[in-house]
Amino acid sequence: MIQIAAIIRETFYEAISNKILTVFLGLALIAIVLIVITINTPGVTADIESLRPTAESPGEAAMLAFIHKWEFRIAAFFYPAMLLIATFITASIIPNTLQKGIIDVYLSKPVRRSTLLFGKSLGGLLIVVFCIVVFVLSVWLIIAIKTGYWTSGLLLSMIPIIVSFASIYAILILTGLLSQSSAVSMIVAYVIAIIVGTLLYSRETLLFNYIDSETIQSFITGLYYLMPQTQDMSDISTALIQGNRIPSFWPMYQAIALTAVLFGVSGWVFKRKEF
Amino acid sequence: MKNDAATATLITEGLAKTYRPRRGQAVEALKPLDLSIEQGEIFGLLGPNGAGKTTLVKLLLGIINPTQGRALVLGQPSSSVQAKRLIGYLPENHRFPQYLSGRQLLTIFGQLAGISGAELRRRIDELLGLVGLSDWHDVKVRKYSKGMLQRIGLAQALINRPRLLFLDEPTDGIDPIGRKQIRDILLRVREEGTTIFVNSHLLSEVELITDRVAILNHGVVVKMGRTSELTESPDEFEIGVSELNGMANDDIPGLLSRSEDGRTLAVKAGSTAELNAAIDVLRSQGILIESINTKRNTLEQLFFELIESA
Repeated sequence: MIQIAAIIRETFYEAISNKILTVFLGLALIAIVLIVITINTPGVTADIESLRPTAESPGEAAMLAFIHKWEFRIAAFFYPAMLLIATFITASIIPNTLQKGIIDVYLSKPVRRSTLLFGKSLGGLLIVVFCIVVFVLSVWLIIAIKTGYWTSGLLLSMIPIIVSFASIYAILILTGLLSQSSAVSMIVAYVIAIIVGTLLYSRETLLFNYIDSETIQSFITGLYYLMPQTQDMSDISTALIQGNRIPSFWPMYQAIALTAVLFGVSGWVFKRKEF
Repeated sequence: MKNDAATATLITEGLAKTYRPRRGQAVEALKPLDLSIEQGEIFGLLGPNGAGKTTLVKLLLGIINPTQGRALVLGQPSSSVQAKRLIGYLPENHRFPQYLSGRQLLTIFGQLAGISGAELRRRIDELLGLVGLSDWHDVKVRKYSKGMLQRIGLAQALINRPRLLFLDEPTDGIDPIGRKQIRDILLRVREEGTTIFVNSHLLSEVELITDRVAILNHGVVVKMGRTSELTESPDEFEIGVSELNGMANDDIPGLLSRSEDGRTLAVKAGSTAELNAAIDVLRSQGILIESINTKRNTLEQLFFELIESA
């Protein structure tokens, strides 16, 4: 436990030193300031005031719909951006650890390789979780204070985004171990999560228009179930924000399972790797 | 062998490593090696680049896996967590995280070694004092000089009070003052009973501190023994004399050379009788003998002889 805590702390030191935290929180701060300015413009303020329940119109539905619309817009824009930035800033964690002259020191200590990998991975994940929580919590507070309504949808929507990042991060870890290159692991993660993920998500509406072979269609569908389903996770976030029924929990389970499998494979690779 | 096993800190039995690249020929980096290093010994591993020195150290630390054989540290497989609790390591060309201060670095690596709380704080203060970095403990490592980096590296290697310390080129790139500081630290650490394994190509440095050395070439130990014995030439003597009184070189039996001032003679004598014959000739000419010593070669001379003859 002391060892894992030490590795996590060292990862945070690295994040602070590399300006990872500064950049992430700086961007979050800019976004928060923009949201504060926008939500306080006379037009939006007037809209909010007009939607407050009155004796004549006691229903809250209109106000809640307004809040959901705002939260949805924010999530739709900032969640993908956060995933992109988080992938960018955590891509170097594993390759940096594997550098000659430092990995030797780590491996000379009485620490199991799996513990070292787990600590480093958890450290990176916690940095991103910290940044996401700071941002979402800030936005939630701004909207709640402004409207006077303390809804839980936006807070809950953090869960799918974090799980979604975990699966992308697991790809980063494995490719980082195999390639020992931040750039390669980042490119692979972007290609899989954004390009492949989007294509597979729209397989029925887009890809299958051009592919007649049932075998290939089955293969593509199989691939869809194996890859990170970031678009589906985004749908879950949207449903949570809008208070709608979640279409399917499958993408959540799949992301958790994929993360676990990729992390297991990474542990196996790391255990066998010679430096 | 039984005695070795009882007192040895490190034992290797047929330890070997062959790299098998996906393309090209297999490279036998280390041929089966049997080695035993006693407690409290400073053992030097010498060899030219590519001799297999780093491969051996990495095998001993479990950073790479052996193709055959095994290594034991105080009876434990050297790659095991149990063995690593007894090991300290300073790698060559280390790259400690530049964003950490000296104290942070020692704290992180101390905790990785399983030490924490007040015990760790005490140990860090003690080590910072030992390596002369107490005033620099809060300065980021990126601002350290090469010598300071080596000393903080040495401190992290010592954080767990290791029974066996591996040092890979510990004085490489350091000025003479820094080298002496590190030598002094190592001698103090040895006094506390720590066994030290030094991997270096700085032969004069190794000669100054090691009890025993092994010379590795093409993955094979070509020579191993006590440093003092390896550098000794048992049939060559240096005779210090008062003055030669114009005596010709040919008149002195076995004379190999004489110093510029003529007061030190290098004499080859295969036996005590031959040495005494040379002394008798000198004495018969009224020359005073001031000293007689066995001639010593440097480790460097021995190294080059062995490597060139391989």
